Amino acid sequence: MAPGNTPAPAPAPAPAPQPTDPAAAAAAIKKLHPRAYLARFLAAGVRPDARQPSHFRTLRITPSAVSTAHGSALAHLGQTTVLCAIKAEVAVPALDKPDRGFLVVNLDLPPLCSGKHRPGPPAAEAQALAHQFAGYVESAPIVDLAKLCIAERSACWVLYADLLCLNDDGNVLDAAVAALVAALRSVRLPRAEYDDDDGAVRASTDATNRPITLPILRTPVACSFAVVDNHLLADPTADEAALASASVTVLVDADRSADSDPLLAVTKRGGTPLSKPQLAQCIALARNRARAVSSAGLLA
Amino acid sequence: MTRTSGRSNGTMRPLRSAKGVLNRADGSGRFAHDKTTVLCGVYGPVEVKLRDEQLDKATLEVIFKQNIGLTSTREKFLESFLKETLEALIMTNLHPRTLIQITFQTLQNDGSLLSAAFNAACMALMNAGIPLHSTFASVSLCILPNGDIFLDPTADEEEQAESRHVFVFDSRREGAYCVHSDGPFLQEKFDKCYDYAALSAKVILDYMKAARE
Repeated sequence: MAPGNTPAPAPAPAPAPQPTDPAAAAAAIKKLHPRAYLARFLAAGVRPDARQPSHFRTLRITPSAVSTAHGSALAHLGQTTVLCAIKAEVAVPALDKPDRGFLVVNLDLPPLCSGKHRPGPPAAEAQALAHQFAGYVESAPIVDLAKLCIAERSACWVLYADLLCLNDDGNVLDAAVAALVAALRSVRLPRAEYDDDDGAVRASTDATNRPITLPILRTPVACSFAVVDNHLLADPTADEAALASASVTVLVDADRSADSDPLLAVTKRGGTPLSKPQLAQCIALARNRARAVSSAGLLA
Repeated sequence: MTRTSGRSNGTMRPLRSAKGVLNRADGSGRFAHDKTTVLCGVYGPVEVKLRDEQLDKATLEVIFKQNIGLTSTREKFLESFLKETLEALIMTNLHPRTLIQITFQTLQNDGSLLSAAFNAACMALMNAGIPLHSTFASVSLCILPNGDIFLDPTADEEEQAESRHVFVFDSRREGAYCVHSDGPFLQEKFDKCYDYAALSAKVILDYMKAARE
């Protein structure tokens, strides 16, 4: 190369785009295009929290979380948290069921648990969820209400089970059922005696008497699924549930979860129609989940 | 076990229906499974409250009234159940930024109430000329402790039953739009209920088609 014949300097490269933080970019896409964001994951066969479509979140139970209650439990399903506390009071049995006590359940979704819920009277959606939950408890009793009778026609226990959602990251129903079952298992009632003379109920004074535990008839496990663009997602998070076109909840007894055992409830809501094989798939996944929960001894 | 009415297990009660029974509503329908009667009125598409406005589709408002008793969470549950299903069946994208209000009034409840409500809604929506993806019909069943499956149960039969099932099918027969089953039941019985319900929904749809003409 002849001296002086130096090559022209290369044009200055266009300023490189500012290297963006990939996590921040992903968060922006998630906010702006939630459906596309989820669809990209589902196309690859995973979910944003690294679960497989058919995988449930880890269930953790802290029994007797409230020391002032007669029974309580705190259930975590991933980030979703439900606290259940049971207080017992003495009441007069209903006329048509003189030998039964009562179990009154109430599920509350306060504004604390999610931005979806506003203060004031519960929204229609929260009321519908609470009714669905109470319906499950009524149609498949967990405790034998006859054991709550103190004296026929005169006195019985009424168990007020208050469930409070502390964090709503989807699928509150499954967490609520788990919290209720664990709380009922932890109930300790004082031995009570009915005095025919003055009609009062007194705690037994016999020091050798230990508190009563409740015999559990069945251990229901609720397993919910969301249908998003023809994908069946087990245990949806709040983000996934917001995009779902249909939801399925299957209630299975963890103590009797063989394929020939009865189911406790099946509810499918919302738009997309579901064929019999798809429903059967939900039921099979629910039975598997119930067996896993049961073998982990979470609700024992 | 035989049914008190003398019906066989797989027989529905006589169906009756009427359309356009409310003159102030944009569409209305009454549907009766013998004594169980539900009246449904449809208003819309009408102006929507700004807060409820959706830019790409119509907003649906469902109101359910019982004939007796105070409104409880049960009605809220029925409302949300009806709303979620109807939202999928109505072509809401054809009427963006409007409201379609659907009101149900129970006239008499002798079992299978939710099914009667769905069927009344189908009649009323057609009467109102609201475009639907397809017509739909709902069927209730119950399973008794001895394993008998009763189609279209009365209130007494629902009371005695171990489990109760409600299904909604559309005329395209793609699958069940909604299923609500409670109480312990075997999966094989559930599958049978599904098949019975799919067949009976066809019968109701044929009835509606005849009633429309």
